[in-house]
Amino acid sequence: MARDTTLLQGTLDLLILKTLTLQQLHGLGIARRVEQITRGAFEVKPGSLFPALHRMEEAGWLASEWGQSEQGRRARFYRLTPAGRRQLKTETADWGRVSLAMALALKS
Amino acid sequence: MLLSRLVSWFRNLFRRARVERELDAELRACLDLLVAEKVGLGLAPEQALRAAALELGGIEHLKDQVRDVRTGAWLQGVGRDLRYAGRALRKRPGFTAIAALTLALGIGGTASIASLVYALFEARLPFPGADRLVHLYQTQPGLDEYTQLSYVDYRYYREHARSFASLAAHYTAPLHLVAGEQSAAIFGSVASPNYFETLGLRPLSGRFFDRDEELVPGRDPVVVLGYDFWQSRFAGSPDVLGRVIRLNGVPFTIIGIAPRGLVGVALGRAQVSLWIPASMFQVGYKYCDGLAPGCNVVNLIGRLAPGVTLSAAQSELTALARQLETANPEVNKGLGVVVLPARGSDPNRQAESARTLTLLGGAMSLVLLIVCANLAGLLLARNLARARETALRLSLGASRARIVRELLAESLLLALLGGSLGIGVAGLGNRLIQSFYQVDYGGRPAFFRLGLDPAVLGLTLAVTLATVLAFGLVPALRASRTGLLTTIKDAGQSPSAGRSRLRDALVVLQFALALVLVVDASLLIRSLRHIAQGEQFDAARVVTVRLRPTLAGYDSARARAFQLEVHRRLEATPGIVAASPARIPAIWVSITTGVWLPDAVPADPSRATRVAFNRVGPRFFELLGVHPTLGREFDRRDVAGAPAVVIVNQAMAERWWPGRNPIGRPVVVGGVPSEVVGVVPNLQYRFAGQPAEPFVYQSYWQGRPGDPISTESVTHIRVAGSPQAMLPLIRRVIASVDPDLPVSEENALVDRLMYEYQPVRFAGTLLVWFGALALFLSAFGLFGVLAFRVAERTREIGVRMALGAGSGRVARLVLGRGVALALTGLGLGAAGTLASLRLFRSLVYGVPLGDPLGFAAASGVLLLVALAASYLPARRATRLDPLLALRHD
Repeated sequence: MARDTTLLQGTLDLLILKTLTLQQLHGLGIARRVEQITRGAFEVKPGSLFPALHRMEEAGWLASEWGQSEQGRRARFYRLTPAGRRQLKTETADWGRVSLAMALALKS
Repeated sequence: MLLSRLVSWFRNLFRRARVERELDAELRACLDLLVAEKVGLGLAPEQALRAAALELGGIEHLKDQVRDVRTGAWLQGVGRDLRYAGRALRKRPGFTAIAALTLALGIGGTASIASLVYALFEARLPFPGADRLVHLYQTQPGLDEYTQLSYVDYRYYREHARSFASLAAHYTAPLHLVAGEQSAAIFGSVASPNYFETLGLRPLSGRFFDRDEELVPGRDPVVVLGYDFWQSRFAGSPDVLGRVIRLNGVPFTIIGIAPRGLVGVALGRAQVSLWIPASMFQVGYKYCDGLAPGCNVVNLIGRLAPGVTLSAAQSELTALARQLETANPEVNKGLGVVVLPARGSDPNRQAESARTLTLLGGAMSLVLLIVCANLAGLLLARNLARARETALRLSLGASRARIVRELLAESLLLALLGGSLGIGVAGLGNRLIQSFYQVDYGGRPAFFRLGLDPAVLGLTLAVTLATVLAFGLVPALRASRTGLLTTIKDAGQSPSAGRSRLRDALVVLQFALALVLVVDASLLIRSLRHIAQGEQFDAARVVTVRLRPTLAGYDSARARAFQLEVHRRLEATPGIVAASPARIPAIWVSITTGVWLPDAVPADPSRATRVAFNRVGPRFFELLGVHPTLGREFDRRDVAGAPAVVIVNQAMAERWWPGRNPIGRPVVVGGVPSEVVGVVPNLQYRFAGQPAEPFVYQSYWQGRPGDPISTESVTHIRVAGSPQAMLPLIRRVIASVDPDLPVSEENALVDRLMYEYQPVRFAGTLLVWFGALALFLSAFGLFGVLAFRVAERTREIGVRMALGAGSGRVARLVLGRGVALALTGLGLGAAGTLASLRLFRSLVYGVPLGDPLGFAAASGVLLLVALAASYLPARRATRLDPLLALRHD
């Protein structure tokens, strides 16, 4: 049985926002970057990724446009909007509180 | 955030094509990137493509997932389901048409009945602020219907009650109109001066009545014309103001025109053409002085003052009624007043209407139930036919919810289609219903409106949605539970037993309900036939005409001479067999008189036993085709001055002189010592289980002199030819005596009977429609089930035939199934019918309620229908080619 790579509810949004702070990325790029920064702990499946991207774009956190990938291929690139940055800040804070609380709870 | 959502929503909804293209491009680009990545890792192009596709998980599937999170996705989902359903329905136009039509009949019928309920019980008067209008009636101890008040009491209430912004009185009077060359019998209203103000109306032109036009009797011969009347009689001419018309012989000056739409204030009653002020009461009503105490003839309509509730008004009026009782104990003893919201038709007839409508509403519900059962059967069969497709989709990952949603969407679409067609059906139904209600019991135009009110439309929508659930949900849920493997493997072979049991049950239900409707319809039809033929008399070829010489200003001596002459000339006219005056139509039981035996004189004659009575002339029974069972009928000897004589009916003979011959016995009728000279059969109609009541006849020509009523008549005329064809001749004969005399309510007796027994006719007509519909639908339902069964079992039938079963045997298999289902339904239906009969009692005349004949006939018809419906599927089964059938998939 493979180790559980299902993302916790809500974590995917946070990870996507995080990966986009430094640069704009296309869908596949985001997936690979998440795998990279979590050292393969999370595997982002297209079936979760694309719905999440579209949902977040509709929420106004992301903006997207067509561009060229490094290999010169056409791809749709996502970047953070100011609202997305604010969202990242709130979610990061929330996450900190939750993980602290969880850690405390599990230690006791 | 909100703005961005709105923009997305707009984009998703209206730029869907572009959004879809973008998504497609994005995912394909991603696929390309993935492939490139795999190739970079050293895979061969084909392998790279396969790996990439596997990782992406199917572009279409992915698109679906993205669509699901979009704003408005739910709406689009519904839209997609509806589009899908629409395509499915278009692919099978036959099924769709039948289903939608079936539904339309059910929904439309329901909407029509709802319209009628609304019109009879809820509809407000078509005047401004009608929700503040109330009707006031008098109540009397020991009388369970509301009656009229006296004008004197009305004025007392108007002056003392604070609950009303305005309180008006009106009396609907039969008037004989002469305007220039034309004359006609119309209805006018004698109205208090504030009548129009109470209704919130202003004159279209001219003026309405003045405050003092109720004070001096006979002083104000002025008239306000109704809009329709003005249009039809005066062609809407603007210079009618100031012109003079004659009403019951008295000249009136036209002073105003009422606005359009005012034809009275009593829904369901005769339309009013014009209005005269209360001071002219004497012209419209002659039996007592309309302005004097104790002459209880006016109806009241009031507008509640702002902030006053109905119950507050009621308590005030009750207190005022008690004051009146104290002030005038001899006239007002025990009298009360009831305040009712001005909604729907005459409250005295609402109980009767409620009975009829309970019945029709019940029948309509049965029809709707049949419709739903039928559709559920259709859908079950249809879903089964698609079971393989459904199973395939389920196994390819479609969710059950999705399948149920799609199937429900199909039902919803059908229901909406049926519902919109149903509104058309309701229009037709309303026209049919209107034809029964647009005339009052005398055949005169009535103030009645039947329309598809918003409330009714709302209800129709609710019914439509309820039917979706009723007929769509179970089949949809069943379809979604399709066993994957079994269905794909077994499609076309043996159906799951449960499914076919459900379909069978639906057919049984339809037959049971159809039997109830057909038996009930047959009872009403036979009642109608009985009514039209006459109860113990012969109603064919009898005409009735109402003659009221007092309305034309005749005194009683002249009126009497006129009546004698009219009847003499009528009887001398070729084509007329006999003519006889009567006080009321032969069929009515509307007036009673005190009766006692000379050896049992009551201490207080006003408390004597009341017996229904009529005054009739010579040959009255002969012309009705009735032979006295004992003694004789009235003849030329029985006139004023001769010994007073009476005829009694059998019920009276049996009750008053049990076991003895009543002929020659003395009896006091209405205070007149008389002798019984004849006994006649019980002529009055009785509904199922109603006992015959005593009835006494006095001689018309022995009426009290000076009593205006005794010179009026409803003249019964037996004609040789068609009653309708003789009416013009009869009018001419009467006009030859006095051309200005009002003749009204000229009717063939059969027509009068049909008006009189309108509820039976109405319920009968509708039930025949319902019954026919039920028959058709159950036949159709049975046909569907059997045809499907044959198709389903094609292979099995093929095997049987291959093994030597003859076509007769195969046919019996199918027919037997059809008959068995129908018989089960009929058995259940018999029980249901017995239960339904209780509702019918008061509408069934001359037919025993539990009549086995009706049962047998209806069951026979239904069985025949079942056989006919089974015939085609059976034939198809026998025509199967065993070889082809065996190969059948």
